[in-house]
Amino acid sequence: MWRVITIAFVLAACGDNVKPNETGPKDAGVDSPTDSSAQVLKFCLDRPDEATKPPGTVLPCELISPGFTPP
Amino acid sequence: MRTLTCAAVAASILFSTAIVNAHIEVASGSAIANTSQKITFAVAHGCTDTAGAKLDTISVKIDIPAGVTSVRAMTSDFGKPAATVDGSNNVTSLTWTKPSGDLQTGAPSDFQWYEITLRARIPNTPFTKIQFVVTQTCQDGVGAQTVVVWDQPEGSMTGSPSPLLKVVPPHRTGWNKVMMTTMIADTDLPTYFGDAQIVWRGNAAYSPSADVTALIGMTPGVSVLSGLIMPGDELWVKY
Repeated sequence: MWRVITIAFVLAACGDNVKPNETGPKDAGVDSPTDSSAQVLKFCLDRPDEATKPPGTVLPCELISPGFTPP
Repeated sequence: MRTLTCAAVAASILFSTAIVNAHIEVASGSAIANTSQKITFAVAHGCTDTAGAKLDTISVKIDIPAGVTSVRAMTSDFGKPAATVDGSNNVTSLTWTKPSGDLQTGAPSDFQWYEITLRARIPNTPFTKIQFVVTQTCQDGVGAQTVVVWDQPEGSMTGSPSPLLKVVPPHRTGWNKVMMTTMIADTDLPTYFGDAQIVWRGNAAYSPSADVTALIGMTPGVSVLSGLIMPGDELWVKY
């Protein structure tokens, strides 16, 4: 019985994982050298309610002005 | 030459520290334009007489600047205030005087920190500093008085500097759009936005936080807010 419970628990925990083909949200930080920071800032503007993350190497979304215009 | 330079720098630091410590200052922080609120003045020390003796403060008089209205004074460490008014019954000055029996005349005599508070309506002049002229009277054990008038404007290299009340626009936590009505320089940004997270004009930003300032400098497409901020400029400020 305990094995069944353990397996169910493990499966439930794994269910929270992001799917492999899903592109997770970014903060304004650059995750790869090929990312354009301007595009990342545009990402912030397109999704202003995006959950905030600790700042990386550029301004986090939450500090980007509502009046900011991507270059 | 290097020794001389270092000595000059050290002397200037010592001198400037003494000036800063000597202030009677506004201890309640910035005031919100066009609102009624309490303003607290800190009297950090007494006076020094001509013989170099440190004296306790017996009285403080605050002149109310033009534009500051609806003045109500609070009882302070010095006791009840006395007011003078103009022909329209507007308060023009407030004086707090404590009984001579409450003077500190022992050794030491000047070791107390005093605060005095009034409530007033602040004029609708954001991004300005209101100068209050304060007259401080100290007294020794035999009744001899020393008077210091704190009446010098900002930047004066002589006399005693007046306390300044910084006036900022009304704002709330989160994003605030601010339309500038007066010109300020980038060097004024810490004065008026010292409690903001970030200030934007277009794609240029300022933050009082050194860490955020570093991120501003590293973000492509974003520049550091500098130069003059002019009337009509639109700022986005996050508190």
